[in-house]
Amino acid sequence: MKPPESILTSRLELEEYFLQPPGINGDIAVAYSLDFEVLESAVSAGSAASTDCVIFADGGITLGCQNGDDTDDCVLQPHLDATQSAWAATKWGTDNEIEFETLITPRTAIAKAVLWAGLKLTSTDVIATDADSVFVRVEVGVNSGQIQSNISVGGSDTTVSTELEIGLEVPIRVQITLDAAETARVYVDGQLVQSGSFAGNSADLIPYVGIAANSGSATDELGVLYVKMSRRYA
Amino acid sequence: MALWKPGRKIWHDGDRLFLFENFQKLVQKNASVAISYNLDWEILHSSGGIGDTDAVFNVEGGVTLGTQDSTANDDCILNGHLATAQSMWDDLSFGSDHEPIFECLIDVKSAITDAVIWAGLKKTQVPAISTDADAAFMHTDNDNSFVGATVETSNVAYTTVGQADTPNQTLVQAHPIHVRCEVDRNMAARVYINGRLEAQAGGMAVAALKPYVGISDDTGGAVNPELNVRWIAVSRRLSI
Repeated sequence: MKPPESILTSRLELEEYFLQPPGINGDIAVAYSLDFEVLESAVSAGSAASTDCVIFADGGITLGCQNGDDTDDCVLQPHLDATQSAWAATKWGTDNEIEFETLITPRTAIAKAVLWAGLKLTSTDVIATDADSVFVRVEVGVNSGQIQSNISVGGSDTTVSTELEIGLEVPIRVQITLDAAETARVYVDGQLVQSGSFAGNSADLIPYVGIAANSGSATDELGVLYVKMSRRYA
Repeated sequence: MALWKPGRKIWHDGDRLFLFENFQKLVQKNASVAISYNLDWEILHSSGGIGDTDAVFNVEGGVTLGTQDSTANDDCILNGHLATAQSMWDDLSFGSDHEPIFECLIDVKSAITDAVIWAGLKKTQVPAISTDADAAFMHTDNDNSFVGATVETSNVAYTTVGQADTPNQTLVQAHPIHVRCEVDRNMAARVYINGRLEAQAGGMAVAALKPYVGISDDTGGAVNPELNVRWIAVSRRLSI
């Protein structure tokens, strides 16, 4: 007899569409996302508040920089409480054939902010901080405002310009894949913009999406429509 | 086309209802239900003790069930949450007359030779083959490193394959085991393991079945068996 059509799946797939907004770590409650939190990165001089992240009427959430400080930022990451969520409890290793995807969009006419999304070791947007990372980053006013893609392996950073620019309310789809050989590929809006190898330098990464004011503007906002992660089971 | 849609907890497709659980939230015992934990599943035992620490996140995905008492027959069972009105996983009827389908992906983390493992559709959560008059599930027998399957119906005592004399598939530590149990519209039950038909029988009675996955410590040896459960899915015909 022919085996029945079956699923799947030898992969763990997690999706977050933000039916509830992430709050700060200490605000965990039924009114907030139980899988994600918002925080300030280590380089931020601001302080995170749950009001930095709100549901957006057209879908997803909006991350805001509300302190008016040059380094104020707002970072979205899996909830850090112990045993809170598989988003944080799962190992997203470069040797696990992981995939990351997010759809983000600038919500305001950003004058000088930094936006970033991808897989890193820490929450900061600074390229040199993490020895291992693969993410996209755009700093308005720098590199002609074009989106950059960065792959850091063992402390060696390779940053390329995608020649793509951000636009107000124009969605940016970021996809990152690592194959069985630990080759990372970064796609922006479906275009392959960078690739690099983590072979021999396996690292356990964390999904992050963030915005840093970088200008003292309290109005810079980033929309996040969804975040997805996938990996091969053991 | 995939039957299930990963990442979606529940959906309808035509005349069928689908539930999917990949343990984004950690499963705890009944009394520990809280927003930080899984609201659809609980762990319990039919023998030995149960504690919240018997289930932990697996960093490779899913949850790990443990038997931690080092006593013979100590078990840990995944059960749809039993609190009243808590979850469809337990409240919904997966009757044999609803064409139910069960699937899961599991693998043994440790101590294969001392583990009893079962997964599928049963009337009760216990591992014993002969307890339920109607059931369709996979099981491993104690001290045997093979995978077996059982279909029990009220008309056919039970059909079991994969016993010691006919080991169809070998149980290997850390190797994934995909289990599919189904009852068709003619009340014939089938169990597939890794895509291969391992047991079947017709004539199942109308019976309220439930999805269960469990592991038991056979002898209470020094090594406590552990089972990784990556995901569980069930579906049934909506119309009654």
